Amino acid sequence: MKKRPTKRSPIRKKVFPCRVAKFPLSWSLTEQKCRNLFDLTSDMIQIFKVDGTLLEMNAAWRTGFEYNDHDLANLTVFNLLLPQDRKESEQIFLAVLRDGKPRKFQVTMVNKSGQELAVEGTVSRLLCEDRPFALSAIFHDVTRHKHYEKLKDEFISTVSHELRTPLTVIREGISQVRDELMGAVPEAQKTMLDMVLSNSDRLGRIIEELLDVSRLEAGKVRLHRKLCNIVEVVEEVVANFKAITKHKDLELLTDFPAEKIEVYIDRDKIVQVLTNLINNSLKFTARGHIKISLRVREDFVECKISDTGRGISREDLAKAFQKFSQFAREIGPGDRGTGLGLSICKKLVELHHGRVKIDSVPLKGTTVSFVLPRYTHRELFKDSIGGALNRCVEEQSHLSIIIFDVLDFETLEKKLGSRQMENIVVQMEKIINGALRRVADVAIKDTKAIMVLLPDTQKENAYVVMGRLLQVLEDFLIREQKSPKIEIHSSVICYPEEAVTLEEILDGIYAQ
Amino acid sequence: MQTILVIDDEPHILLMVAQRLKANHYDVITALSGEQGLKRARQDHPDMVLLDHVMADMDGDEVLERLQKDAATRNIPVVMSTADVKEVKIEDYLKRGAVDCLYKPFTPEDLLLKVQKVLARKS
Repeated sequence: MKKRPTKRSPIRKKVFPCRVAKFPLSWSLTEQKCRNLFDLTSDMIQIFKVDGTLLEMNAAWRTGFEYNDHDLANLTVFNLLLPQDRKESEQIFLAVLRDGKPRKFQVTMVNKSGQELAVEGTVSRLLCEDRPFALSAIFHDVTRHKHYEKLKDEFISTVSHELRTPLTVIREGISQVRDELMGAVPEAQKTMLDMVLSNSDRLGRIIEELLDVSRLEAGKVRLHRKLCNIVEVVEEVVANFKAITKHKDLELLTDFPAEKIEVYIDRDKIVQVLTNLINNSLKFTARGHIKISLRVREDFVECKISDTGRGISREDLAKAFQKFSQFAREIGPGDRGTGLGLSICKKLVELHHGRVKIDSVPLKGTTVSFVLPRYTHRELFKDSIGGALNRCVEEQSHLSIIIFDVLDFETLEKKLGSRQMENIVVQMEKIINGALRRVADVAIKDTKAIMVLLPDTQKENAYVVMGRLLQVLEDFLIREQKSPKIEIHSSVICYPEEAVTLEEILDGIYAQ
Repeated sequence: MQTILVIDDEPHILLMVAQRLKANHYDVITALSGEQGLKRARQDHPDMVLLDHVMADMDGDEVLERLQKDAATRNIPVVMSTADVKEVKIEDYLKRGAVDCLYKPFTPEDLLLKVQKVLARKS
């Protein structure tokens, strides 16, 4: 081989004061280099044809699956998969071969000893002279990871059960004595029992907070998001506190815009955040006011809770969102709390892709503010389908999406007006959400269509649900007696039967 | 008077819940195990079942499945009571045929409201 003259440029000398080691010339981009890396990686690599014929496997694969060259003659990829996964896997292979887009997968495979291996990786297409000729699967063993996940789940579940069961008995037992179910109870005893009850409730809240934090940290919390008017949500929470503040020397002020603000949120979780933050303000504010305000910005909504309480010092402020950090509360009776509240709020807001921050001036007051992103309908569709799809891929289950379109929307809009049409679509979404039976099922509207996400639902069942919802919609439209008559077109898209990626699903939806 | 069958393997909980329901003018049948619960459901045709999710001998899920399979008990509304974490389980229960869920520790109001709601829906 010709030896190339080495050039030492002055710049190079400056940037690399030491000598840069060079590969031996014989070891440049050659097969030797590739083969070494192929066999040294701890990821398992298998190259195979779409009919299942195994072509090449690396050392990690052979170790994991325990097969040697003799065995491979009679073996196909499908022998390594569980029977129930074979069809679905074949569909993924065909899709990758067809469009060349790599796809992630998670599946359980079986090795020579019959041991099950949970694996996670990517299937891609290999070209030879620009023609697709085989597939490659590069994956790693996640069996142990899955095992630990299972242990974590069981731990949280056990703790939850073992703590809550006796608490139920305590609570109910005291409550029944106090409610005189077992005979009359003198006032002094009632007072004592009330005190015990309130402490058992407090214990319950502490258990809930601990469990919340464990689950948030374990990534086990799933949001069930829907479009909500956040003004209404905040108003509801504030109304709950009005009774408490009446007794204290405190004013509860609100500052909301007049129009409604639609945000894509898990209503229960945001109620939890608001309740927590207002409770905090109550703990630290003896007199003055607590003000809750909402502002719409272009891409997000901002909510501020500010009080005229004793404030937080700068050192404490820095640790405010850490677990178990507590500040000296107002003198007087009341929950000391666990110091987990703010940490939980932060995690819940961040799960919504939002941000929280806290500001304070000692002796003057504190303001906690959080922002939640607003989504355009298209982003919302994409985000919610993406989330549901990821979960279904993870759980190896099906996802069905029903689309209800209003036919000839533009013509109807011209005749009835855009406000009228908007109102009708809003009502339709409400009706559908009301008719859905499972918590995980959700209907989301676009300007002229409503999409219904049905996780863990196969095509046949999706058609049953579609039939039922269509009936409900048609009943509604008949009641409205609009002229011209409004007609709905409905269709279903299923993962993985008809579409395997987010893009394919979105294409399917927008093609309607 | 409407009859409620309560199935829970914790005798204290069974006692408490039965007492509370009786004080509110419901007829109560109790069962300390899944097997006993299934027998009573078939025999006594209660208006509703309150079923604990985690039990030693037979899991709440299995009891629910068998209640659904049996034509004699299929239409009795079942409320699962659980000390387990909320989001994870409610969808499963509804999918398996339960009509609602009651989370422990529950207040007397929680219990009574839930019972009222389910019995009202039934009629």
